[in-house]
Amino acid sequence: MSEAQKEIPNSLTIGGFLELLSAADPHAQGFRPAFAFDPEQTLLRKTAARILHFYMRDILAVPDIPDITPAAVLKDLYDCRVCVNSIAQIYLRGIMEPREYPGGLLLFDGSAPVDELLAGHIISRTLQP
Amino acid sequence: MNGPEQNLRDELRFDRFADGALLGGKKKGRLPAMGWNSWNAFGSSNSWELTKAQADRIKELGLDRLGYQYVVLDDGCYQSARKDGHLAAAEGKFPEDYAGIADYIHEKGLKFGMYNDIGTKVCSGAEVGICGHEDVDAADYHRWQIDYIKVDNCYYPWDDATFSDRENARYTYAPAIRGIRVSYPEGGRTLSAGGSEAETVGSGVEIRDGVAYGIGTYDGTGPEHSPVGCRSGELVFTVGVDFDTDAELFVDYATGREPARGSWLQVAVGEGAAVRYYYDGFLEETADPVEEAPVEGDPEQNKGVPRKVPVVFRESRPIRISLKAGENRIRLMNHRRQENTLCSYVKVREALAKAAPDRDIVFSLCEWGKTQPQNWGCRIGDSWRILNDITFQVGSDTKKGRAVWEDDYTASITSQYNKAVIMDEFAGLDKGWNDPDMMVIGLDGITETMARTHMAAWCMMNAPLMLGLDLREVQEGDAVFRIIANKELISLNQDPLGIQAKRVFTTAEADDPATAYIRDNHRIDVLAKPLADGSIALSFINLSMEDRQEKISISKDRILSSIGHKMKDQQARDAFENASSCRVVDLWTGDETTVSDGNFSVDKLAGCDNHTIRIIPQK
Repeated sequence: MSEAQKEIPNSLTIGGFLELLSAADPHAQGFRPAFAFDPEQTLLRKTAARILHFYMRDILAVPDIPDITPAAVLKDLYDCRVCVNSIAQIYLRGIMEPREYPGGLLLFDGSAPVDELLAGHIISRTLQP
Repeated sequence: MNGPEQNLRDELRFDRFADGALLGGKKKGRLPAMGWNSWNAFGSSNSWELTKAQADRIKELGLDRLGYQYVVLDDGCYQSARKDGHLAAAEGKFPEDYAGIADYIHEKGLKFGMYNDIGTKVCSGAEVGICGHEDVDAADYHRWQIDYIKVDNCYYPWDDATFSDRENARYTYAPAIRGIRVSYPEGGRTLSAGGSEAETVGSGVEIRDGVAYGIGTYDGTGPEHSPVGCRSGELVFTVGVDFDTDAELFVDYATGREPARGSWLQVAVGEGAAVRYYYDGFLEETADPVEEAPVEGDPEQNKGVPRKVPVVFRESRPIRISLKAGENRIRLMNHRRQENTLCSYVKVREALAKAAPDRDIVFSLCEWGKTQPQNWGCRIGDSWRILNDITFQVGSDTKKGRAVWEDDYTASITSQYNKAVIMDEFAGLDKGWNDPDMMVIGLDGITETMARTHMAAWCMMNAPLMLGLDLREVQEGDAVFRIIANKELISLNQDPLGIQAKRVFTTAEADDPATAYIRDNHRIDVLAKPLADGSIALSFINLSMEDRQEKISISKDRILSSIGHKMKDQQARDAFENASSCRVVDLWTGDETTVSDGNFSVDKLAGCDNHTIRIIPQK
């Protein structure tokens, strides 16, 4: 069983997240990020970051923050090579917060699932002007 | 997935890495590949429309005539899952069958490249990794008439690679070892890891409180460690016996699932051709090595944080070994990180060779330096990536990617250069090429000066020249074009002698500039490269972003002592050594000068700039 298929209470699917995004912003109707995904899979934090980053970049035309080095405080930033920029952009804009572990360790925890409550928060923050 | 190959062929073993035998039908003599790859330009957003435009631009700009011939679809070209067991084109982005794409590219006189991954998924997460599907995918790649394949290492099931389970470290490190007991009919010995009969071999093994940790292979994905020297470590006990005897070996160990303490042990006696393997597998776990942390604050927030648990040791079941009269070196090791990865790549290449025995396919290893491919890549790959990516800020159809000159991690031109520049001894026509990643010329953040030096360095280092920009932005004669189309530079990269430049001087403190791993960019390096016509290429590279005013001078003697043995032949060496003067051609401006005193110099260099010349000895 892959990490994305584990049963997680209150977790959301990728398709469900895209529906929430569409409901929150009419511009998002029909939006599909330009990477392969299975809408039935559990939404992970890294996937949420990618979707929101692609949405901001491709639909809202929000330019990337050029210098992502401040995001290197996230000790797992480079664990997801295809998500590094998305995680950095979403973190640096304050849309998704890191998790702080004992000893001051900051992790993005990209493989952790996203529940509906968190999904609502991060969509709301993304759409804030 | 049941686990890695249990019975490794001897030719895939660590002890055989240096013998140079080729695997999977690999051919020698291939120069670095040149072409365009979709990743840096478009990332996962790549599409056929975009790729087609790049192929068209390669022809329109005449880049194909300069050697840029491969058009490579990177990650983002497949559906999220297999279709009837086969790879399928990403819907809405690519036509249904890649054969049509291959035809289009081939009809232009170009070559077609694709992408996959030795893991269960590709890096973007699509569940189409080649692991376990080698034969099916190779047949499809043959049908699609590919000429090149880049093979990544995400979701690899037997290492803690990107996206893999971190606990996979149990495959790649031996347990912590406190000692051994050897029992044979005539007697026995108990030896401790910290004792005089034990020694650590290679690098990475640390003895703490009498216990050996770190028996395995360094992770080379990040820039922390030098690639030069042995990057693996073993714990070796020397046991002397008076006569040949069978014995039982008991290992005092504690397993783990983390870097430096795993669960897989290899036991061998002897080395090289005389090596005999006696154990290669997991040891029974001693205890759950990682438990969830006691929660402070929100339990959900802190879920999964490992905490230290007491290390519990136990004695292994007996491992039967044979000892010869005299001293025996009992090796406790775990080379599976390298062996498993090699084995997986071999499966792919062998499947391709079986499906398309007559097709010449470039095999580009992309395991990011994780398993130290400079030790084994030459046996199977035409090139091997040496680090994690050169940029993580890739572009899209509407937005340029971004890259930088320097960075603490791998994502910069200098991060890649600093490692590649000391790896020349691993490369060659009979081996393959170090790959410091696809180029970032033309991306935001890269000035014209940086791009010139990037191009010069990649050409001097015989790196694959894979363009990573949107060629629709390039016009014939513009600054980017003049850099990527510099015939003189390209001729260094494609020189038939096939020698990666050696660093012969650096202004940084270094005992040996050829092998010192230097990450402080406040310096100027000088690289020298022998060429097939008897001339020498020399490149002065200012790694610093600041202008440097000092004069740097390199003598003919220094060049000869560093790379004279790599020149084409003794005649070429003599001609250079005895030349009355040298014609010196600036490979960026075309300006020519004559040097009669045997010293080649530069007076100043702007920040990030280079001065690259060809030295032609005159009678």
